[in-house]
Amino acid sequence: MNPPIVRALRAIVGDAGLVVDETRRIPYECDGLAFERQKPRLVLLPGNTEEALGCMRILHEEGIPIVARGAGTGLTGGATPVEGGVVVGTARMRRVLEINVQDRYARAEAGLVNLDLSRACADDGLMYAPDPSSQMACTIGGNVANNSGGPHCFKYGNTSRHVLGLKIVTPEGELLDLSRPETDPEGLDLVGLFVGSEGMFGLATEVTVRLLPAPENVETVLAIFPDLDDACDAVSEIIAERWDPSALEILDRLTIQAVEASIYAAGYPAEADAVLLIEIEGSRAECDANYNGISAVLDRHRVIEARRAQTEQERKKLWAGRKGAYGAMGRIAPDLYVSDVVVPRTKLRELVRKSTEICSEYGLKLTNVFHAGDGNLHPNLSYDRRDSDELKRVLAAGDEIMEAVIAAGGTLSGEHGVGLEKRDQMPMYFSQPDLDIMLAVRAAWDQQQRMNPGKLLPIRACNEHMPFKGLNR
Amino acid sequence: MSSNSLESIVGRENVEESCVIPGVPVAHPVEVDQARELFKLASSEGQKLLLLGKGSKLGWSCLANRPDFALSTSRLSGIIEFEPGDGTLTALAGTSMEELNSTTRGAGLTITPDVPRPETASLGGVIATGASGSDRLAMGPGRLHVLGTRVLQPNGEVTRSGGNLVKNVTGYDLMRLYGGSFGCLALVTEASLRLGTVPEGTIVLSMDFDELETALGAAEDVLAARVSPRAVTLENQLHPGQWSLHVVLSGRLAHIEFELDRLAQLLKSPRVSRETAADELKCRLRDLEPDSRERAVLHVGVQPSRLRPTIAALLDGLGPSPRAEFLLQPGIATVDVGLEPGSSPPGPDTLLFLSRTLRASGASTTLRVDRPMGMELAADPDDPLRSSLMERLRATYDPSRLLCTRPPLGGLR
Repeated sequence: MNPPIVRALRAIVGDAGLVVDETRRIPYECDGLAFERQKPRLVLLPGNTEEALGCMRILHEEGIPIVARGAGTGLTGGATPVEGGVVVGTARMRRVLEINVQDRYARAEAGLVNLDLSRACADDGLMYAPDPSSQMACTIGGNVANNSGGPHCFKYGNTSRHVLGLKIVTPEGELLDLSRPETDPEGLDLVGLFVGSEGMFGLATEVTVRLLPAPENVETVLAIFPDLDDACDAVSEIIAERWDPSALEILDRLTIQAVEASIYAAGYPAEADAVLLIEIEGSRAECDANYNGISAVLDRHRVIEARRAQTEQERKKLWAGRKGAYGAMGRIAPDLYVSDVVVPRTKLRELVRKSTEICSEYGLKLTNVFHAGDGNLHPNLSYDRRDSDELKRVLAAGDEIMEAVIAAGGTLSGEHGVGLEKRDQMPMYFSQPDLDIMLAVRAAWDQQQRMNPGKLLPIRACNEHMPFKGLNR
Repeated sequence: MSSNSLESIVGRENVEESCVIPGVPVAHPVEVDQARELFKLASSEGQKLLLLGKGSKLGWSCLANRPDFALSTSRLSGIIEFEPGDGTLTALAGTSMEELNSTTRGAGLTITPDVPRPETASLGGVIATGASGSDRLAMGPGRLHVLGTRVLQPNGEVTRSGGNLVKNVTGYDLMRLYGGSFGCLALVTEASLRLGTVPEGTIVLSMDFDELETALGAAEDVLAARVSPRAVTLENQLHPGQWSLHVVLSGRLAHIEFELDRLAQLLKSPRVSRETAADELKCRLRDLEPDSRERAVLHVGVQPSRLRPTIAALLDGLGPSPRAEFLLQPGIATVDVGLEPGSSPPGPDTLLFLSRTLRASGASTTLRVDRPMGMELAADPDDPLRSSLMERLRATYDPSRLLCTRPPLGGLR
């Protein structure tokens, strides 16, 4: 990069906020989608909104493309740098700015780790509901970009339902201050639109989120099944009967074995074909009513055992197994392709079976750990990226799973976003006019399309929608 | 605009001579293709178009221009898909909220928002106006329950965003843009909703107070208690010094009895309504929101910590003994003031002064009347950058300014 530009940027963010050295830029080459890589020209880590404004102004003047990055835990290549572009990370913006107990909201810098927010408000009896599996590392800003979910989004909804305000640095380096929480948006709902825009509208530097009262009682039930189909059917019936658990998570046999062999061992029975983790919250009366109703459903679906965690320690252990499942899969193969699709909740069994058949045809190792209550499947394909043939088969199987899901009335993503991974599959779900209006809306925010170019929206021709090089895969 | 042109598209039986704005004919397309033809007609003749549903909230919006004709979705109605096992429903925009409620209720499911007078409100109108209902405290704003939409853009394209699944982050959430846009971007033609569960039971606790201060204190005590009411409502129906507090508990029977016990220790001898009486009272409370077709309404939203000073500023601004109904919902921190029909509503200057005063204390204030207002009564834009972005988005959808309604915000012209 041009030395005067680097000097100008260094003057804003200091040495701590600038990553120039080639070796130190390597970790920024990709996010969790490890087979898509591109080294950024430079990495900027502003320490606050003011510094971000300064950096973005210079990048605007120089016409340099920008990829925003939180913790890099995304799984779709949303934070993969663009050739010739700069990464602007939020890793130095991690402060909780305000916890307002009476009005039940928090303001935090975008780089704050998700779990740290819930920890910060726990003493006030409050919680931040969205809880992605990566919540120990992922950031609030990254959650905003991807409209992230998590197990408890079954009850509470994805990030979008909890974001009340944002401070956004526009692509031109101006501050769009939408951080004041409003009862209803005044005029157009810019905050609602920004959430889930995958870093293509601007850089969020500050997030205002809704906090909820922590539930009075929380119970976790481990239901053990002899067959994955039974676990899927039990979930469909719990929903159809309108019971009110706060989370319904299924882990299949291979996942159970990987977890139990890892440091996340949770006491899941290795002989089970599937376990269903059920969380119930509320007053004692509410918990008991739900437990009794759900138990009756489980019994009708050949549950071997349904066990209520007896202590808080046991409850946490059951969840540690679920949240550590992806880490545990490192025991199966060095790399993991985490698919993320949603199916109608009445078709869980059908699509889980279909995914298994597809992976079997391609000779791939499939594990299933998923948010069953939302119909949000995560068929996880373990592979070794050094084996190019295996990687090809993984991608082909991923595409086939998506096709089957769309054919069954499902959708491409429930919580990970589109990014690079599913960009070219978007026409499977949306028509060209649907995509055209998205492109036009994006241009209203970012006329030069410098923010995260080449993501989410498919490129139809080599000279279209791609003012920057290297956007085709 | 001659009615003949409209009749050639939608048929004579689907054209009204005049809508709420005298001299402005209304076309009621019965299918989306007819709506598209009406858009084309307006475009080719350089006409201005007013979009509406059943018209019950038309007076919540502002008009940037006088319309040449109106397009109502009221006959573009019907359920497209109802999946009880999946807890979702898709319907055409003109379907009444009452029809949606009656369709889902039989399967033990409910629609959010639970809007007042659901027979007069259409799905598309509710989305376009960003309306919420009496279930907002428990379920959140209505806009968060819209899973996906199909819209007709002014260029004639029908486009989709979101879908009909309870979880979906594929593509931008354009449905969030349409919610509360007051028809200034596109015509919502259909929408999918996430459904809730019909509660096993409902109990309503009611108490009367002589002073607002005491009533508000009791409401705050309820909200601070470990209970999760569906609604906490304070009403004053033109009886100075007479305030009624209603706390609606809904859910599993064992749970609401438990919550009733908890509240009984907090509130002094409340009247308790159960079963049919509770359901009837819940419906009455739902419909308490003043109808802007009958009286001018000032709608104020604020953060809970600012509710008391906002009420004080409001009462001060309206002067001594205002002839008005007050509806306070302390849990969601909104105040609706319905000025008594026949009384002279405060003039534009007073309302603008009041609105600015309240906004300075952190409240958002909008006026709702019986027909679209002029832009001079819109709230002030507070940020030029925000306003210009909204304007760019509006121009993206409607570059030739075919659509003449605007949200009640001054910056978006």
